[in-house]
Amino acid sequence: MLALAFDTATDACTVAIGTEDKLYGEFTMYAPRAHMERLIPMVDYLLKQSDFSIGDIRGLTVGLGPGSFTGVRIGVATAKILAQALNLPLVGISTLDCLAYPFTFGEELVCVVLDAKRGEVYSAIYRCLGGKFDLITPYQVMPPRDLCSKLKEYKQRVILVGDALYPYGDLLKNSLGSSVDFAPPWLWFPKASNLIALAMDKLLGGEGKEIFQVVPIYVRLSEAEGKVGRAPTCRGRAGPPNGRAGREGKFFPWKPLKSPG
Amino acid sequence: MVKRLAEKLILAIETSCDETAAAIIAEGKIILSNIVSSQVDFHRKFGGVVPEIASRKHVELINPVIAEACSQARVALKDLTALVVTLGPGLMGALLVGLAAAKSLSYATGLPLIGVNHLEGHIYANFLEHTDLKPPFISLVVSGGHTCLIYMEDHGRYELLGETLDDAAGEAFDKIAGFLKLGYPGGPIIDDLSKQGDPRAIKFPRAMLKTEDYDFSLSGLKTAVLNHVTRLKERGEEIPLPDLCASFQAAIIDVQIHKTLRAAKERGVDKVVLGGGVAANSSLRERFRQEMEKVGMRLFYPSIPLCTDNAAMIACAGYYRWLKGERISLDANVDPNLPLCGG
Repeated sequence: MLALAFDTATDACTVAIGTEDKLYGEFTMYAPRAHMERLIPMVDYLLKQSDFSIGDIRGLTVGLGPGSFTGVRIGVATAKILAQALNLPLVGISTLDCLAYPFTFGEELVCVVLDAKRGEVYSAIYRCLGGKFDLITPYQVMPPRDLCSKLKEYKQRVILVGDALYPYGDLLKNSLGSSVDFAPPWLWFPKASNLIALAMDKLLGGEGKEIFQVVPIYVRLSEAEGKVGRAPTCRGRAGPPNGRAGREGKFFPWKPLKSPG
Repeated sequence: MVKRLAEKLILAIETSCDETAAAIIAEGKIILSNIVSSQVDFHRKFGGVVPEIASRKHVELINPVIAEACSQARVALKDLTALVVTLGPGLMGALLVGLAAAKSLSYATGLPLIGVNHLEGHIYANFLEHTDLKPPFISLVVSGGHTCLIYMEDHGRYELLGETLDDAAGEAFDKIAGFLKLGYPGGPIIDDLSKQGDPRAIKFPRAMLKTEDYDFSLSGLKTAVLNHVTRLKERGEEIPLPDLCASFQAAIIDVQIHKTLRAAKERGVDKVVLGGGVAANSSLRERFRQEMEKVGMRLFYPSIPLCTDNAAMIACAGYYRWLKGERISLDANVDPNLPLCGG
């Protein structure tokens, strides 16, 4: 089955086309806050260069996050509408699973860490064995120090991978010492070919028909839901509070009625 | 599905704020479907639109809303002529979902994609219902996010004459309603209460009534209402809600009428066009009607469902851009502060 995959949950924009036994092409770019401009042109380029057209695709898979709220929505909305318009099955895969996949052939613990901003990381821990992996924690968000304490409990070598190693690599290394190994940096961002590998059995098994039900994995509540009562809202003419994609989570401070004048 | 081969069928997507909307129109004016999935219930407990919640709801609702627009119009995607989407102004995260959906649909179907300005959409709501309407005219767009006075010379040619320097009209309604604990959204509630009130009961300031520009300011009025209520409370007096609401509304409307008329005279046009959610306000419609009649100007405003955010108005604005051959490419992006210009 020819499948198209993409993930836009991190600073990388990654697209791949492949079947159950062949990767036809993959295109990954470091493109922070540029997913809206890049995604469809990258899909189009990859299809053209591999002599396919969008009509040849028989299945879709997309990275669901967690990651940038705005980024992940661009990928998920694009995938859901493609699935609806072309009547294709769509299987969503966690971006954390996508990052863990290359390590499944070892026999170690793998911990994926993505930068969740605001001093926290998204993480998940996997036990790998002979090409399969078990997710042994929920997808969660926490400060990197809390993750260190959790990892120490395993008393086992852990491979760390993910873009949170850029800001927090030193902190993790200093705290965990020789019990952790960092994956090489070119594996720290997701690659869409891994989504195809993870989704293919489900697509071949007839899953992915309920496309309306596909939603991003946010892990975090929206900031407003997290503190109901101190409602940050935005309805002003100034447009959005946060201005740019990828800097989600900062809302307009609620302006009190006692404005000057 | 009924084949409508002879017709120009436009599908539009609008997600600039908290309404997930899709519509199909034929020949630039016949509404075949106009689906609006309002999220107002999700935002009520916060007393305003929460951008992150709006964006999350758009991702959940965009597919069923488009499916419903097609099914109600009895149109298949392959029968469409073009796609239209709102590029701004609005909430960044919310706009992005609409554009991602529109680009994806355009790529899947090969249909041309046209981008429009949300404010332009509010003006074009009038072209859906008033087939005799032709530019040039002065348009006042008043909504939860905007208060703009626009000179529209021709299709696609606009000049922004003035806008609010602080709060948009709808925003002021929401904040006053929130302060008085009347509920959300504030516009319809204050409008209803005003019907039993005297607009001359309380003298609130008419900000910027005498200034030479076409700008508006509502923060001073908001403070005046707040101070008035606080004084009444301190004296232990009852708050006359209908009079208060009617007087507050009148203060907003007086300035809007004055500046709209002055702009129309200065530009030498005899038509005034209202648009936006606040144009659904019954007192605003009635007062504008009376004042325009006095000076012999023609007034146009959309029916109430077309005043609030919807995709039919976006489809209509897109139709005129489509006629001119305008297209956006697949690397287009949204602009939360998209200016209304051109010409």
